[in-house]
Amino acid sequence: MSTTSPAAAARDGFLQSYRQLAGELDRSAPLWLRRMRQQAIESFEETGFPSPRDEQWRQTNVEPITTTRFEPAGDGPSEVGAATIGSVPFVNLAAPDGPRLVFVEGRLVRELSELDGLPPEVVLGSLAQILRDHPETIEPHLTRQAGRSEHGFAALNTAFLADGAVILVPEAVKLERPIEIVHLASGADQPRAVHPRTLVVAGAESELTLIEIHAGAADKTYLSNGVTELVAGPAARIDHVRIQSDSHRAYHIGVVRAHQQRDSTIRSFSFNFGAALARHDVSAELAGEGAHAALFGLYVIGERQHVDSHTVLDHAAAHCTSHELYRGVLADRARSVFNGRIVVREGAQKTDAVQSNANLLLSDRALAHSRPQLEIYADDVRCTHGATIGQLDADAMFYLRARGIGTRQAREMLIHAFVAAVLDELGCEPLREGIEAAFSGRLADEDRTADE
Amino acid sequence: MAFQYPVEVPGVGNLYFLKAALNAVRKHRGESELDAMEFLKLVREKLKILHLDESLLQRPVNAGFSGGEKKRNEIFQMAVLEPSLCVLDETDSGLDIDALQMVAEGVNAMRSPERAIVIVTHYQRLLNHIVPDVVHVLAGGKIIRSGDRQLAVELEKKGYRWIEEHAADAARDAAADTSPASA
Repeated sequence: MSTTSPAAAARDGFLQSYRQLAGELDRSAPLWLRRMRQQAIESFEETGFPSPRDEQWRQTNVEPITTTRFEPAGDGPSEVGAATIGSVPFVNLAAPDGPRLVFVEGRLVRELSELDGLPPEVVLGSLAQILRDHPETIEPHLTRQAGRSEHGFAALNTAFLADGAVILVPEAVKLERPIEIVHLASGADQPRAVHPRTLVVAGAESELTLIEIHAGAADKTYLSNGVTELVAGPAARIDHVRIQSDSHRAYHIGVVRAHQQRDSTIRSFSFNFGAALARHDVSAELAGEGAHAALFGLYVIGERQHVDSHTVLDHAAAHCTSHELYRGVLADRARSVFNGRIVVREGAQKTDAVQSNANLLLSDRALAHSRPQLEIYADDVRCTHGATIGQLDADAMFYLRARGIGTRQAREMLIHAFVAAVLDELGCEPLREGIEAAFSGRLADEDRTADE
Repeated sequence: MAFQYPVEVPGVGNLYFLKAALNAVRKHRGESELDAMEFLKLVREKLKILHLDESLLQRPVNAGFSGGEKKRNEIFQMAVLEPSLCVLDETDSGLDIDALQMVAEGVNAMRSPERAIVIVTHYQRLLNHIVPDVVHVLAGGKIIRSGDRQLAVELEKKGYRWIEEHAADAARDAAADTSPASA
């Protein structure tokens, strides 16, 4: 006799969904993809969902996910119309006229998307279609960066891979307008699992900005389990902005993996505002000399929200630089985890890595974990890290109030000042204003609940 | 209240801070809030009076300011906010002679019958530039002697010991006068 644990039962549920869907998924897939999917599901079957016994999941218990029964996302008619998309936060701010790809439950919705406005040599489109028409263009990249060696969630994403966003920018093409990718959960009453996927390949000396927005109907429970792969060719430049504003009852797992060739630059922004439980893994492999990675993160959470940010900066080549700055504001009973790992491999001399994580606790019941992890196997490097967890500066509060500014406004001014360190780096004023407005409203809500 | 050690508030721009403060104060007084243009005009006038550079507005509040800059920023805020009661806490500490003169000019420009200004200092030097109407000497949390500006000059010459002894004598005399057992 054996009793099945919730995690094992949840695993079996996903395996069963996979078996039901695999035939249909594989029908249009090239052989290499079918193999990858097969490997991914085998790996998931073996490892299952992470447990608090796993070193990288000690502070994040995924039990709320494993005890919820998720149906696979269907291709049923989308309940999201053009009217809804206009009301999704953050959409339209950076790229008012597109180009934009809108996915509902992981599937591209063409009527809501705006594919025009790019140079003809740039590929922007649906993964499903590219897999049908030109699979060879993405074969060298898709699932090469992520989806096999990660945790069980990423393996699941690859196993269920059916559609997603693909951006291929050829050599020396510099895109001035940002590309927006919107992933929406449709808001079905039964919890559903969605596996959004994004692949970006930037050719040598090309440049692009990508805004990835994750959202869903408020009050709905769903699992959004996304993977984004970024490949920066020699001297390419990618700005990747990821905004997570999922329903406060949703679960969000996100993996961003970047591969950087020589002299390339990737700037990654991770904004986490939504979800009951969010886990976000960002990693950059600095594989070519002279590459630069900048990882910025901001989480503003309250209630009983939980946000876990795990980052890895893998300095595999010499003369690379990385800069990491994560800041969090926690109200009510929110909890956050920051785990920043920097690996300097043998021979990666002259590495210069700077990491900082700061947390602002607005309530006595909020809790922030912060943990830098340095692994250095080269001897001529500079690595610095710092972590702080604290409250609003009482002296600064007093000073502002002594000038007649009310408590609430003073609080807000200091919170905005605290997050400015991250937002100042964004360099897109409309988006910045949208983000500031979003959490101003948010903190005002927290204030109201605190008053009640 | 001008602080002896003005607090640094990194990330909050001076201009934004002042506008928020001024509008909060105006609201309290039942006046309409100033819009950006009106506010800027007012701020520029005040900068001129205090001979301050406009670049001050763009910097974060006191962050990275020198001691003198911080004190001048305090007086600048006072000029913009126009409080009816100003408390200047050791505004002269850490100031060089030029900065002291500027601070004094700013304070003098604000003197009016509608406004009370309390200056807390250990030295008479500041009072050469800002001539006080009344001087109170505080010891152990109590006013032990009051007078006009001559009191401060005398105090500077004779030192605090003198005035404390003097006050102690006076207190003893007063106690003797009221004690029934003094006969």
